[in-house]
Amino acid sequence: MTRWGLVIDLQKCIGCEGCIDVCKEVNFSPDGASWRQVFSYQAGEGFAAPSLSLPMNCMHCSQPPCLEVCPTTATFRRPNGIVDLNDEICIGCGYCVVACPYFARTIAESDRSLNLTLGDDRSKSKVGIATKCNFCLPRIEQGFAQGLEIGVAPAATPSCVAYCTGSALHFGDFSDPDSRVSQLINQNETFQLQEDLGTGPSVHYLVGKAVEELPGKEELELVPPSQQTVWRWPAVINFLLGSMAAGLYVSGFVAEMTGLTVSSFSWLAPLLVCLGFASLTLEAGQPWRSLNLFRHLRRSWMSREALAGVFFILLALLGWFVPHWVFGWATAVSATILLISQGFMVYRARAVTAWNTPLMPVQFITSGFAAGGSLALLLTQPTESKLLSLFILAWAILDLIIWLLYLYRPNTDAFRKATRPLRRQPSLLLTLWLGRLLPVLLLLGTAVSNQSAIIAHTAALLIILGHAAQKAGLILQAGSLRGVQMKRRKPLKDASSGFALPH
Amino acid sequence: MIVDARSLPENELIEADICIVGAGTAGITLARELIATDLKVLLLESGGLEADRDTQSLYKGANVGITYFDLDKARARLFGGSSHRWHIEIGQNEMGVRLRPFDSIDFEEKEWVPYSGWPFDKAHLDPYYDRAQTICQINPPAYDVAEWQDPEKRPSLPFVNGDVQTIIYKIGSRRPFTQKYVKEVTEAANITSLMQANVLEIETNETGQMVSRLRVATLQGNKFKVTARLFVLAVGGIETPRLLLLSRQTHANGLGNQNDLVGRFFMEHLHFWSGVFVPATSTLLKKTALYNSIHHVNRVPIIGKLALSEQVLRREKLLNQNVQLMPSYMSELFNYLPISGNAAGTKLNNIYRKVRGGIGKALGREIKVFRLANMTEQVPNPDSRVSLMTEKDALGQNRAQLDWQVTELEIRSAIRTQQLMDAALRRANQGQIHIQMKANELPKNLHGGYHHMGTTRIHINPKQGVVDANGRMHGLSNLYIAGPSIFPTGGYANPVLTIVALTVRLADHIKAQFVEGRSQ
Repeated sequence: MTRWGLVIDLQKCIGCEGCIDVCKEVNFSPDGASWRQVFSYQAGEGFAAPSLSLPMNCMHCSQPPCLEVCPTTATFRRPNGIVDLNDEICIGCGYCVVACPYFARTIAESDRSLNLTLGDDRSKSKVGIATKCNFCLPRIEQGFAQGLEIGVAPAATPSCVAYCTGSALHFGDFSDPDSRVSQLINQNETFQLQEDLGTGPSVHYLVGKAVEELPGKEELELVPPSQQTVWRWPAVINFLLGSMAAGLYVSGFVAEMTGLTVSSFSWLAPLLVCLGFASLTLEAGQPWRSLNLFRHLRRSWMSREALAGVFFILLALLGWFVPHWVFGWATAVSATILLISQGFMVYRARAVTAWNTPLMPVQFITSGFAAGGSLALLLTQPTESKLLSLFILAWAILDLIIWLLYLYRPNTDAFRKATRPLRRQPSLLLTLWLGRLLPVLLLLGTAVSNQSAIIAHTAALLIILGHAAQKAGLILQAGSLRGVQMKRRKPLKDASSGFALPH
Repeated sequence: MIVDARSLPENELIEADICIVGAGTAGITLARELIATDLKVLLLESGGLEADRDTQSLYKGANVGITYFDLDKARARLFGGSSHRWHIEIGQNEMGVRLRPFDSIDFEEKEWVPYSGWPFDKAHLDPYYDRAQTICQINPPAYDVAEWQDPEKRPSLPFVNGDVQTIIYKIGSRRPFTQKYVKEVTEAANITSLMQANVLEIETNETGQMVSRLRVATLQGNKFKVTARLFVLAVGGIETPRLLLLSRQTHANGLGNQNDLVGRFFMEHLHFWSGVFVPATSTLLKKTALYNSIHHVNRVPIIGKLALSEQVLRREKLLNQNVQLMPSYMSELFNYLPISGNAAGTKLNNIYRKVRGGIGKALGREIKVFRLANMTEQVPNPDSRVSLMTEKDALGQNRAQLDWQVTELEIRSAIRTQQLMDAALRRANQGQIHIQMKANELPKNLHGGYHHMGTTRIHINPKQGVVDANGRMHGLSNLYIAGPSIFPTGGYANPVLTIVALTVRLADHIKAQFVEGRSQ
C-alpha cells in the first residue's frame, strides 16, 4: 500500500523559509495558521555558532496522536498514508493541537490571508477550525491526472518540495523500495522526530554533515518546549465545573443513601456541567457544529466526555422530575464516566508533557470527588454532616498523596521542567498547603473539636479553592508543548530495525 | 562554461574583459546581454547552481532597526539569486513575482520628498522597460487598464475617477531566471561562470581612480585574484554596500564612501493592512474580479490594484502607493472599532464570527468586504542604513547590519491615501473605507517584501550619490553597480522590472564603451 512521505536533507536546507511562503500561497492558509515551520537550532551565541535549520510539517504519522483524539472524525488517515482534515465537520476544539507533538496544527483565528487567489473555491472560510498540511493532495492528484509521476515531476509534488530553494526536500512513496525516498533512507543515516512516542512519522531526516557538526550530535532537543495557547480559561472552567459537578452528584447521591439531605445537588450538578460546556463555546472555533462531538466515541475521550456530560444532564433532570432510584444510579454512573473521561482526555493530549501521564486520570478522580464532596458538604445542614466529612477526608487524603506523587515523584527532566511552575511557592500555597494539607488536618480535627461543623465547612471551602487552583495551574501553567527531540539510532541496528512499512 | 573556483590553483590571476560579481537577476540579465559579443566575460557567483547552508550563512547579520526579516532569510545566495524566492502562484506549476514599471512621477524630483529625483525620466527608461518585459516574458508591454480589463466579466471599478485609478500588475515567472537563462549564460562560449567565488575586497590602482583587481576566496580556503577592464557589482542592496564598506584600501570608510553615502538610504516597500472597504451594494462585489484574483489575459497573469493619480499625489504631497483588494468577511470591521486591538475587541470579533457562522449558513451566503493591502513607497532616509558589524563571517568579513527606518511621511501618506479613496467611494455612493492606521504609529503587521533599495544611490552629483547616471561609481572609471541599490527612490512597484530595465541599459552602455575603446 502506498505511503507518501518526505525525506529532508538537513545539509541542503538553508533555512530561508521559502517553503513557508509558497505553502501559504498554494494552500491559502489563513494568517496565524502555518502548515510548515522552520525552526533554527543554534548551539551557542552569535551567528558563527553551529546551527541547524529544521523544517517541520505534518509528519503524516502511521499512529497519529491527533487522529485518536479528534472528537469529530474530521481528522482521518487516507489509505495512501496522508493524514487529512475534513474542514466541514471540524469544530475547532483544539484537541489535536495539544495532541500533536510536531506543532503541525493550528486553529485559524481569522480569514486573514495575504495570498492572492487563483480561484474562489480555495478561499472558502477556514476560520475557527484546525488546519494542517495535506502534502498538497489536490496538487499531486491533479499532476497525477495529467500523467505526471508523483514525487518526480514538480507539478505532481507538494509545493514545498517543488519550490525548495535548496532542493532539500524529497517526496515519494516509502512502500516502493525503488523510490528515491526509499533509496535515500536505505543508503543514508536518518532519524525521525519524537520516535519514542511511537507515532511512526512519514518524514525522515538525513543526518549528514549539518548534524555531525553540532556539539552533542547524538541526542539533541532541537526545538525547546513552548506554552500551548489553545486551551485557556474556558477549558479550565469546563474541567473545574465538570469534575466538581460529578463529585457533587456522586457524593450527594451516596449521602442521601445514608439518610442525609443535600439540598439542590440534583439540579445544581447538571447546571454546573451545562455552564462548563457553555464556557467551551467561547473557545471552540465553530461551536455551531457541536453535534459532531459525538462522532468518535470509539476512540476519542472528548467524544466520551461530551456524551457522558449530556447523559449526566438529561438523567439528572429526568430524576429530578421523576424521582426513581434507577435514574439516581444512572446519573451517578454518567457522572463518574464524565470525571474519568476528563482525566483521560487530558492524559491523551500527548504533546503536553505535564498532562501525558497516567496519574492524570487518577488525579481527576480524587480531586473531583474531594472537591465535589466538599461542595455537597456546603449544601448540608452542619449538624448532620459527620459521615460526609469522613467521605471527603478519605478522598482528600488520596488526593493529597496523588498530588504529591505528581509533583515530586522521580520523573524525566522534561516532566520536571514542565511541572516546575506548579512547584513554585504561590502555586504550592494554594494547591498543597492551603488547598490540600490544611483541610486534611482540619477534617481530622473535626473528630475532636466541638466546632466541628464550622471547621468542616472551612475545610470544604479550602478544598474547592485548592481544586480550582490545581486545574488552572495544570492547564494554563503546566501546559507546555513537548520540545522536539532528535535521537540518533544506533548505526548497527539501523539496517535491521529499519523502517517498518504498513501493509 | 562553468568553473568551480575550488579547483583553481592558489593565487591564480584570472583575466577578463568584464567581470560581473553576482549571478542574480541583475547579473544574469547583464551576462545574457553580453552573450555572443567578442567580450570575455567572467561571472562570479558566491554559491553554486544549488544552494548550500555554508554559503547562505554568509548572509547572516543583525537587524537593529524596526523589525525585519532575518538577513539570511531575505535573499538567496546561489546562481539565480533571490529569484529562487519569488512565490506568487501563477498556475501551470509556476511561481512568479509582481512586475510593473515605476510611474513617471517616481523619477521626478519632488519638493516634499527629500533626496528624490532620478537623473532621467521615465520616457528615457521606457525602451529598456520594453526589453525588460520581453526578458521577463510578460509581453505585450502595455499597462493600460483598457487592454487588460474585460468590460463584461472584469471591469475596472466605477468609482475610479480622476483621483483614484486602476493600475495593472503583471506577474512574471521565476523560471527564466532560475532555469532558462542560467542555462544560456552558463553555456555561452564567451562567459565563464565561476562558482563558489566570494569577492572579499575590491582593490584599486595607486591613484585610487580605477579598480585593478578583486580579491576572491572560496569557503574551502582557495584564494585568487581577478583582473578585468571593467567590473560590475550585482550583489543586491545589502551585499553591495557591504562589499564597498569592506574595501578599505584607498578610503578608510570604504570604497566610494568619501561622502558617507554607501549603505545609507535603505528603502523597502511598506507592506501592511491599512483598512476595510465596505461596498455600498452587493452588485459592486461581483464587479471586482479584476482586482481580487490573479488571472490570465492573453496568457499573461495579471491583477488590478488601486492607486492615486499623479495630480492627487502632487496636490496632496504624498508618497506613491497602491492598494490591493482582498475579499474578506464583515467581521473584519470589528478590528477597526475604537476598541480594536484590545482583548475586548478580539473577543467581540470572535463572538460575532461564531454568530455569523451560524446565521450565515442559514442564509446560505456570506457578507463580503475587502481588506486593503498596502504597498507604500519610502522616503530616502540617510538614517535607514546598512553598515558593518564587528562580528565576522566564515571568510573573515564583517557581517552586515541593517537599521531599517520608517518616517512619519510614509505613515501620513498611507492614511491620507485611505482618506482620499474613502472620499472617492462616498462621492460615487459606492461604499466607504474604515481606516485602521493611526498617525505616528507603525501599522501592527508592517513588513517588507525582500526589496532592498537605495544603498548606493544614483545621483549626478558625487556629493549626493554613489553612482552616476550610468551606474558607474563616482571617482572610479571602471566600476559599475547594477541592481536595486542604485535606485534613488523606490516607488511602490516591485523592483524586479526596473532592475532588469536598468541592467539592459547598462549593458548597452558597456557595449558602446568597448566599441568606442576599440575604434580609438
